[in-house]
Amino acid sequence: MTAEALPLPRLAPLPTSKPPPSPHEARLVRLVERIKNDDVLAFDELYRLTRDDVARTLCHLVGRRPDLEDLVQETYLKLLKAVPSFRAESQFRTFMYRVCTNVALMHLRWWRRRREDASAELPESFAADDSDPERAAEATQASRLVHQALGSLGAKKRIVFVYYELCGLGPEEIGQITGTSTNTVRSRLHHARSEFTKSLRVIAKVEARDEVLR
Amino acid sequence: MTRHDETQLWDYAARSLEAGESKLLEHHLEECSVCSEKLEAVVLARQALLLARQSKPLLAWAKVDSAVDQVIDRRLRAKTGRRPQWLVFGLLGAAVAAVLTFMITHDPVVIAAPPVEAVAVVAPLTESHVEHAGGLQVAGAHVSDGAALQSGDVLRTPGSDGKALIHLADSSHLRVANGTRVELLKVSGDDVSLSLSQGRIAVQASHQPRKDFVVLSGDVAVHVIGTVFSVSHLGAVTEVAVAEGRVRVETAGGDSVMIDPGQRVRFAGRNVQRGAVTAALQRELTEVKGVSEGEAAFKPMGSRPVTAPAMGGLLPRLDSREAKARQVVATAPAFPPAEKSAPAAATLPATGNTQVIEPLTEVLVEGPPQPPQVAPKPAPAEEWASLPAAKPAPAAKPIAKDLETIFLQKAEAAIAKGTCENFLLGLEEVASDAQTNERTELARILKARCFDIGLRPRQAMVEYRKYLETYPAGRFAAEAREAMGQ
Repeated sequence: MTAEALPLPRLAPLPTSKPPPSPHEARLVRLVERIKNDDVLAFDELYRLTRDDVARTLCHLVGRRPDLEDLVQETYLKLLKAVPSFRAESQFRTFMYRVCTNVALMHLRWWRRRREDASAELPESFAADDSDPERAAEATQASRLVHQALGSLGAKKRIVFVYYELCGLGPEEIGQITGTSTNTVRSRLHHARSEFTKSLRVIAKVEARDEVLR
Repeated sequence: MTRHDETQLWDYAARSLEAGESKLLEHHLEECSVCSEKLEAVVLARQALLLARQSKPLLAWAKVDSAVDQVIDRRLRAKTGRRPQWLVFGLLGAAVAAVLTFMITHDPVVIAAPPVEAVAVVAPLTESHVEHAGGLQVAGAHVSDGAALQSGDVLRTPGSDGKALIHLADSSHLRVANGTRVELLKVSGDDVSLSLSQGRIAVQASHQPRKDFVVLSGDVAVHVIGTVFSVSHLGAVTEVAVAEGRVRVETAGGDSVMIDPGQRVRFAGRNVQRGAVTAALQRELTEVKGVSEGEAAFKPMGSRPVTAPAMGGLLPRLDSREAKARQVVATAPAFPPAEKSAPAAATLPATGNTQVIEPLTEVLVEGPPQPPQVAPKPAPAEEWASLPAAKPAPAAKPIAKDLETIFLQKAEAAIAKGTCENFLLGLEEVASDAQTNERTELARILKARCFDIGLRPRQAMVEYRKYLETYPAGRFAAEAREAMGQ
């Protein structure tokens, strides 16, 4: 499968009637308007509001890599350049995820050229929001397993799977992000789920065996 | 199981199947061990995914923040960097035209100072400039009074006995205490952004309509509209004190803290402490306010009233370039009336500097300035008092009213665009004026509308209620009643 950057054309409006934007989305759109009026400080505010979401999404899309910080930075650089083309015909979140997708695809392509071990993860690279330490440890462990399983998916299937299962987007919105039809999204999601489940079972078994041996 | 049935397993695990379909599937699972096994795997996967959603990657945010800040900074410089070129060309063109006109129409003997040099000093006064250097350094080099400042300049004052007064392009004044490092991220007539990394600054923000006036310090951002306040930064602690008006401080966590006059708030990480403004801070804030309002009306503690001879005594200590500039202004009466008014209006800022120069003119014309060694070195407070503005600005009140009208017009336009959040504080300031009039009425209803379009119905209702309480038969009473469902 090829991992090519998607162009950033105008996002087509959804055929269904648009629901009213959430307060968070409305705030982001207002910030975008300020950025369009050369208010660069609004971009700083936008960055503070969205950086966790962007970092989490990029981490899911490419895995926990040592250069994840660089990817976040690159995403915001591209976002700053791309914001003038945002016409509020779709949600800003969709627009932002599309930029994330492009950055992730470019990175995956570059990574494959270097033929480096994509599954090389960093120790202690996740933190859970939960205040309960036991539950936080569970979430961290689950994240590690999920990311290992995601490594078995191809780039396009991984993108669809991540946006649907981890970011909670619908097939229509994912179609807008990836520039594909809803049916294609559903098809990729089906295959991705199947591969992910198999991979996770294998990883879980190996982990359990190692645990017993220890 | 077919391909579509596997999708059904995911839907079943997510409990999003309809009752009939669920029953059919459950019936099938009782008979099919393969599908039961698959369902177990799906449930396991869903549990792992749900847990993974809660986690977030551990990143070196300081590195990312710094890199993104640099990106923003570069962008900022790229945008502001182009403007001064036009400004410089425009000013140079105007200067050359003025010099040529002057040389053609007048006796060259009348020229008291080299005109080009005079323009070079006077022209920046319309932009941000140093009013009193006090050992100020810009980019590591010492600057003198009258030096022009621009976006991107980093100002530093010496650790001891150094304090500077800066006039910003939006007519605000900035007093920089000793041992301070402050960067002028953006200083234009309608947008000011400062970054304080060390020391203390006191600000008298003008009432000029603008996009924003923000001071970034540590993890907090101080947003202001027409107010007198100070910000100090030491280590990881930022302290904000307000003398007049109100400021809104945004913390790193995204919370907003309002600070009222007389209050002093300390931000240390997530810890926020409130206190009263100290006497020393109050004195400093009064000083910066006094400088901006006009020194004739300002008598700082321990200083004597400023008279023309006293200012004349201080004159020789002024920077030679500034002295020459003032000398040129002093010769202005030699111009024909039609030509005299134009350059003055073009070069002097709108802070009453026209009156400022008049007493100096008398000193220059009536007698030579005393030698520098004769002039006693005044106390620091007197130095501030010796700064320009000999007469109180007579038109200050009407201008303020006009500015309010302009502000309200801008707020109305912003509401129409749906981008009025920055106007809320200003609208409250106008609306809460003790003397109610058309402007206060308009400000109140605009504030309500702003909340309305910002999807903040509760605040909007409060504003509509306030409006009806104050103006029960007002112009917008019907609108307010309708909004409240009466």
